[in-house]
Amino acid sequence: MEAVEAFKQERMEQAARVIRKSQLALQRQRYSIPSKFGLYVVALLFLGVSLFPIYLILTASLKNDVQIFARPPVFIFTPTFKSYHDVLLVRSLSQVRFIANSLIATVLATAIAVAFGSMAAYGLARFEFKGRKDLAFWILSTRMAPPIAFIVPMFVLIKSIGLLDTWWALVIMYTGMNLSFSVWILRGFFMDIPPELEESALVDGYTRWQVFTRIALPLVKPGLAAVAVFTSIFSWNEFLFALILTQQNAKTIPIGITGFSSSMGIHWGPFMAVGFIAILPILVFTFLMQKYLVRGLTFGAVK
Amino acid sequence: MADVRLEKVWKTYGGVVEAVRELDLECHNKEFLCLLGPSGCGKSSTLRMIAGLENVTKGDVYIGSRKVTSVPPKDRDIAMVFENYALYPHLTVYDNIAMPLRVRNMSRRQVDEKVRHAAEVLHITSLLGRRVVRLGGGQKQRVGIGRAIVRSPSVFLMDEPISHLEAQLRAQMRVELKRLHIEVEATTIYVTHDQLEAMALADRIAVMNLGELQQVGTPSELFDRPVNQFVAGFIGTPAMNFLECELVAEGDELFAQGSGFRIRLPEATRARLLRSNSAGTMQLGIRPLDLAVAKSVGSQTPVAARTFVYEPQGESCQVTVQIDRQLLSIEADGDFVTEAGEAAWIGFKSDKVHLFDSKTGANLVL
Amino acid sequence: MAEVLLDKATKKYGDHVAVNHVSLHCKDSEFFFILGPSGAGKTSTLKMIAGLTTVDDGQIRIGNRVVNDLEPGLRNVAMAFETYALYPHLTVFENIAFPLRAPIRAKQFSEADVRTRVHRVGDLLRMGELLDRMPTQLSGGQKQRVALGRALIREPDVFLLDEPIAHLDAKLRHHMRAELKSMQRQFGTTSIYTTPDQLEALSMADTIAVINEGVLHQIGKPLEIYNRPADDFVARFVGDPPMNFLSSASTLVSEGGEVRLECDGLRIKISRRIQAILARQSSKALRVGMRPSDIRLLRARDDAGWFGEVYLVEQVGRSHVFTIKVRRDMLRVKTPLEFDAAVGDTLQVAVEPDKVYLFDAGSGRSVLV
Repeated sequence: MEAVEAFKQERMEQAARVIRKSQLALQRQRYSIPSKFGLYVVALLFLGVSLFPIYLILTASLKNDVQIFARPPVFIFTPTFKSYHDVLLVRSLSQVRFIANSLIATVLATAIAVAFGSMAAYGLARFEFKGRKDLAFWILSTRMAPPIAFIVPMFVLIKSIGLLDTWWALVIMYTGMNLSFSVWILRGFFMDIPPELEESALVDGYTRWQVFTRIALPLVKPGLAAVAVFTSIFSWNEFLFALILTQQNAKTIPIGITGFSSSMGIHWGPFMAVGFIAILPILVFTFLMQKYLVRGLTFGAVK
Repeated sequence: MADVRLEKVWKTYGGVVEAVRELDLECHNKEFLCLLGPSGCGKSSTLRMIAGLENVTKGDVYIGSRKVTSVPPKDRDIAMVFENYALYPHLTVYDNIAMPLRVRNMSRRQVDEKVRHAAEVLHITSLLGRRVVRLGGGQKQRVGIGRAIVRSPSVFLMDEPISHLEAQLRAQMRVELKRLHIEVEATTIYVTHDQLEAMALADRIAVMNLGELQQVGTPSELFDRPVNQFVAGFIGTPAMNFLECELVAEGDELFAQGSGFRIRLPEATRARLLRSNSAGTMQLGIRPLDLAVAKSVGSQTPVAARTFVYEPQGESCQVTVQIDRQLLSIEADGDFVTEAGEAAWIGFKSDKVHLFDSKTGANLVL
Repeated sequence: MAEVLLDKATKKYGDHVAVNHVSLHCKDSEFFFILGPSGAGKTSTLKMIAGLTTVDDGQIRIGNRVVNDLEPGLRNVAMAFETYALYPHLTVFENIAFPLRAPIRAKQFSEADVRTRVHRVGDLLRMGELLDRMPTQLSGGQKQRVALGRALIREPDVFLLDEPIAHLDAKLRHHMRAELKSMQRQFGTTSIYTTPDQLEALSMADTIAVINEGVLHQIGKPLEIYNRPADDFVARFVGDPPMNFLSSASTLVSEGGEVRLECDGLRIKISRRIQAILARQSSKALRVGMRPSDIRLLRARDDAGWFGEVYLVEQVGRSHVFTIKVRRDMLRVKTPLEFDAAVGDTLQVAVEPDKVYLFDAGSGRSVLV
C-alpha cells in the first residue's frame, strides 16, 4: 500500500513538473516569429561588431607586411608565424619579459584578492562587532577615488620604499584596487548562505575556519569566479600604474606594446602578434570561468 | 449570479500532458463549490479554464446560459482572487478596490459607494487610506477579495487564497469567507489542496486526482460515502486506515478477514457485496473515529493489538496500535490513557467499514 | 544522556528581550517541548542551549556542566533545523556523514565505520535508496528525514529540534508525529523540540513549556496544560478550536448556599468543586473561559438563560462547529454532527458547570490552580 502511495505521489509530482515546464514553454512561444528573427539579426550584428577587431588582429598577426597593407584586403592567405617568432625569440623585439611580468602581477594580485577578500568578506558577513557597517563602507570607499588622483603620491611612496620598477609594486597596487570590489561582491554572496547551514556544522564540531573552507567557500564559487575574472582582467590590462611605476625591469605587456609604436612608424606584424598574445589568456580564462559565472545562485538555500 | 457548467472539458499541455481529462462538472447558482485535490491534479487548470486564462483543448464552458469557451476573460463577468493577492503595492486599499470600477467609467460617487460597501462587508473600512505594502497577509487577502466583490460578477473564482497564511489566521479567514458567501450569495468556485478547508467552506466538493474527477458531493457525502479509495484516503484528518483483507463466508454470515482480525460484516454490506460480485483480496477502510479502543477485551473491542504510540490531544487522543505488522490510527476520548507497548483491544464499527477493490480502488460497499 | 537546565536564561537583541529569565528543567531522556507562537523566543532559547548565540544573563547547564561559554561543537548536542539546512553541494550520504567527519572526531571513525553508521541511519529512516541523491532532488519529507538523520548519526547527549516538521503537508506531519515520538522513546535521548503547533506538543511531549514574548507561562505534562492552564494565554493557545472568553468581567454572587457567577446580568452555574476553590481566593473581577466542547446548545426555550444567534456552521469531521453570537461575544461551540441548526437560528447556550475556567481579570492568571 505504501509503495502504491509513493508511486502515485511520484506520478503526481512528475505530472506537476511537466505541466510547469509546458506552461513556461507555451509562454515563451508567445513571441511572434518575425520578432524572433529580428532578435537574431540584432544579436548577430552585435556579435560581429564585437568579434571583428579580434579577427582583424589575429589575421594580421599571421600575415606578412605586404598582405597586411594589401588593398583590397586579403582574406585568404597562407599564414606565417614570422611575427610571433620575432616577438618571442628575436632578442631586440622580445616580449617575453613583459609577458612574464604581466603574468606574475596578475596571478598574484588575483590570488590575494580572492583569498584575503573572501576572508574579509566572510568576517564582515558573519560576525557582529562594533563599527562593522562603517568598516564595510570604508573598504568600498577606497575604490571611489579616481586612480589618477593618487598616482603621484603612490609614485613617491613606492620610490621611497625602494620598490620602484619591481613587480611587487604592481602586485600591491592591483591588489589594493581590487580588494574592495572583491570584499563587497563576496560579502553579498556569503550573506546569501542561510546561517543554519554553518550553524549545523558548528554544532557538529567543526571550527569556524573549517566551516569557512568546507561549506562557505564551495557555496560562493560563482562569486569567487566573478572576482577572479574581474581582478585578472583589470590587472592584465592596467596601463597607468604600470607606466608610472615601472621603468625597465617590471614593464608589463600594455607598456611593452607601446614600444611598437615609435617615431619611425608602427611595426604592424609583431604589433598584432603581441596584441593577440595579450588578449588570448584573458579570453581563455574567462571562457573557462564562464560556467561558474553562469551557474549563478542555484546553489543557494535548499529549503 | 449564474451557474457554471463544464462539458467534457479536456486540457492538454504540449499535446502530451493531460492535465484535465473529460471533465463534466456543474456549479449551481449561488453555490460554493470547492475543487479539491493534491498538487498536479488539474484543479488550478480547471479554474483557469473557467476564467479564460487558459484555452480549453476540447469541450465547452458555460456561464449562465452563455457558452464562454472562446470568450476572453474580461468579457466573462467573473472575478478572480489569487493566492498572491496580485495587489498594487504602493496604492492605497481604496485605490486597489476601486481599480476595476474605474476602468468601467463609473461616476466618482458610484465608485465610492461600491468601494465603501465592499470594505464594510470585509471589515476593512478603517484600512481604506492605508498603503497595501503596510498590510498583513490576512488584510491583503481581504483587499483582494474586496476588489473581486466590488464588480458584482456572476462568478467568483478563488485560487488557494488563504493557503499560505499561518494556521490561526487561516482559521479566521475561513470563517469570514464562509460568512461572506452567505451574505453576498455569490456563485463561488474555490480551489484548495487542504481538505479541512474544503470541508468547512463548501456546499459541495469536487475531488480531483491526476486530471480526473473522482467524486462530487457534499462534505458529508464525501466523508461517509467515498466512491473510491483515493477520496476515502484524501478526505478526513486523521486519514482513513487501510488494511488488506479477504472476504470469508461462513454460513449466512460474511466476514472481512485480515492478519490479526476478523470482522463480521452487517447485512446491508453483505447484500451489496453479493451484488457487485466481489472476491479476492481487498482493502478495508475504517476511519480512526470509527474504531473503539479499550484496555481489556470486550464485546465492543474483540481484536487484540499493541499500542505503538499514544498522543494526547486535549479532549480527544490519538492511539496508534499495531496488529500483526500493520498500524492503525484510532481517535479516542481524552480520558483514555495508554502507553507505547501496552496491550490494547480494538473494535471496528462494522457499519462504517468500507471495502475497496484492490485494483480499481472502487468502493464495493456503496 | 543528560539533563538540560536553564536558570533564568536571558537573551537580548539590542533593546528587545527575546528570552526573559526563562528557567526550565528538562530531565534525562525526556521529550521536552517549548511551545509558543512565532516570535515567542523558542528558537533563541534553543540556540542558547546549542551555543549558537551568546547568553546575556543566567546559566545553561548540560549534564552537570555550565556550558554558557562552551563552543557549540564541544557540547555534544545535535540540532535539526526548521529549514533542514542540508548542504546543497553534497549528496545525501555525505550530508549524513558530515558530522562524523568533523576533524575533532576524525580519529574516532574510520571510513568503514562512517559507512556502516550512515547505512544504519538510512535504514532506520527508510532512506536507503536516496543516499546517492543530491538535496535538490528530494521532496520536503525526504529532506526532513535527511536532516533528522544528520542529527541522529552522532548519538549525542541532547537532540535539539527546531520546528522540524513545520514545512511538511498535513498528512506527512501527522505521520511524522507518530514516528518521531516512537523514535525518541526508542533512543531514549533527551530531546528538546520547539513548535508553534499546540496539537504537536500535546500529542508528542512528555513535558511542555509554554512561552510567549520571551516569558515562560507554564510548564507541565500535556494533560495538565490542557486541563489546568495557568493563565489565559495558555488557555487560549492550547486547544483547537481555542477556548472562548467572555469579554465582560464576571463577579461572584452568593445565592442561598450556592455561589454563582454573574456576567452582564446573566447567571452562570458553577460546580461545587469550583465553588470551593473560589472560596479560598480573593480576586474580585474574573474572566470566564469555556472550551468549545464544554458548551451545550439547545433549541430555544423560555428559560432565563443565555441565547445566541447562529452566525456560522462548519463541518469538521463528524462534528459541527458553530459560531454563535451571544450578546457581545462570538462563541465557538463543538457539537456532534447530528445536532444541526441553520444560520440565523436562535439557540440556548449553557456551559458544563464543572468545566468553567476562571481567570483574574487583571493579571490573567487562573484562579482555579
